[in-house]
Amino acid sequence: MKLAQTLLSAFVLMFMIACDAGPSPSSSKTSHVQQALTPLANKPNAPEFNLIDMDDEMHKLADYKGKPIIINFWATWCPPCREELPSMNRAWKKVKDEGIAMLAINVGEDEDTIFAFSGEYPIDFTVLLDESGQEINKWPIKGLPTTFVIDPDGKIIYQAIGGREWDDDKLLDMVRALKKS
Amino acid sequence: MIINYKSKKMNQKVVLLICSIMTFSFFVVSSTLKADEIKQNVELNIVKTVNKETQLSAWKLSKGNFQLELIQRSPEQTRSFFQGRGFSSKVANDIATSCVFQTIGRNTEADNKTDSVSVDLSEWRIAVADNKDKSAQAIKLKEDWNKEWKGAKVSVASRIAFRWATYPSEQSFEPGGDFNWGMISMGPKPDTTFDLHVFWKQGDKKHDAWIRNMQCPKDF
Repeated sequence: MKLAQTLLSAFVLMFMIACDAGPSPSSSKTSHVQQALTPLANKPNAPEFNLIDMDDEMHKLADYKGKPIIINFWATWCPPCREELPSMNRAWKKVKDEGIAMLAINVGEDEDTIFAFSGEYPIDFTVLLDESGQEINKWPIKGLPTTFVIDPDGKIIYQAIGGREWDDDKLLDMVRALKKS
Repeated sequence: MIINYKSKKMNQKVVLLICSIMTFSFFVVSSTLKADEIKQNVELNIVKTVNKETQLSAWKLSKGNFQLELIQRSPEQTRSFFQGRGFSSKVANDIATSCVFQTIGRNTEADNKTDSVSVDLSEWRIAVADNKDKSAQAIKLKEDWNKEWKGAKVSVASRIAFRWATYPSEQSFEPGGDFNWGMISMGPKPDTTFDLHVFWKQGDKKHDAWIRNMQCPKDF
């Protein structure tokens, strides 16, 4: 009977070990972490830009003065950029009538590439093209995606390195709070 | 005596039954895992998995706020990526066969009041098993590649793609979801086995860990 008990204990132990599977290579999703935006202590001025959109219309940072802006830097070949796009579209639906601007600055790709990409991954808000990669160099960015939140006076208030679920009201409320009453 | 004999018989049956259940259950549970776990180093929390579809291996290290994933990229996958972005076949092949890993580093802590995590890839070292003097060597950073291409015909567009598709040599991750991803080239030839010595900081405190028996992806 003792042998049976020992075997039973061994079985339970083996079962527990087998069940304790390590995590498989995870996606870059951040859903397991409570999300936040990182405040920039020195609140630097956002660099001025002159970039065209998909219809060859020129956009400048100054065009958006007086509104909080969410500026996302991305590329079509960047998996976490693709992953956060649907949540950015949903966020845009929530804030587009609230006096908040949202821009997606593509880095290093041409209009045709982005056009082909948007067939599979529609982007509902303004896409700007930094094809030469000159504009991104003016921003404190080390990887894609990186997103900044600019206040109505053109200062960078928050940054997010890597993707976020942007339709989370916890994040959007931080942007809404920057609006001038 | 008869009772004793019956009891012994009974014991044997119970043992046989338990053994059968153990074997069966172990195989059932093991085979239903999403990925095949090969090795788990509990102390350092390093887990190796193999993707059943691609057969590519991945290593995941978790300690404190820091989580690091290193996923093999097949040379074919990397070659096509860079050729598709204007690199010559030679340069694309040089990168592809330099032991490239898709790397994701993140700060897993949600609380904004906790420490940031930072990595400096210039501190990372690899030790190759067949290296006679067993000395650790630095990994190949994006800056090293750029030096190699000085004067070479690598277009601006290709350099932009390379810059943003590769892992930054230095980066800090704040709590609340910060992470970054990108390719890291460890350096050795395809199918080489090596140990990787990883360094990172959580706040001001420096940490390190060895990830043993990593393999450069094979070039089929």
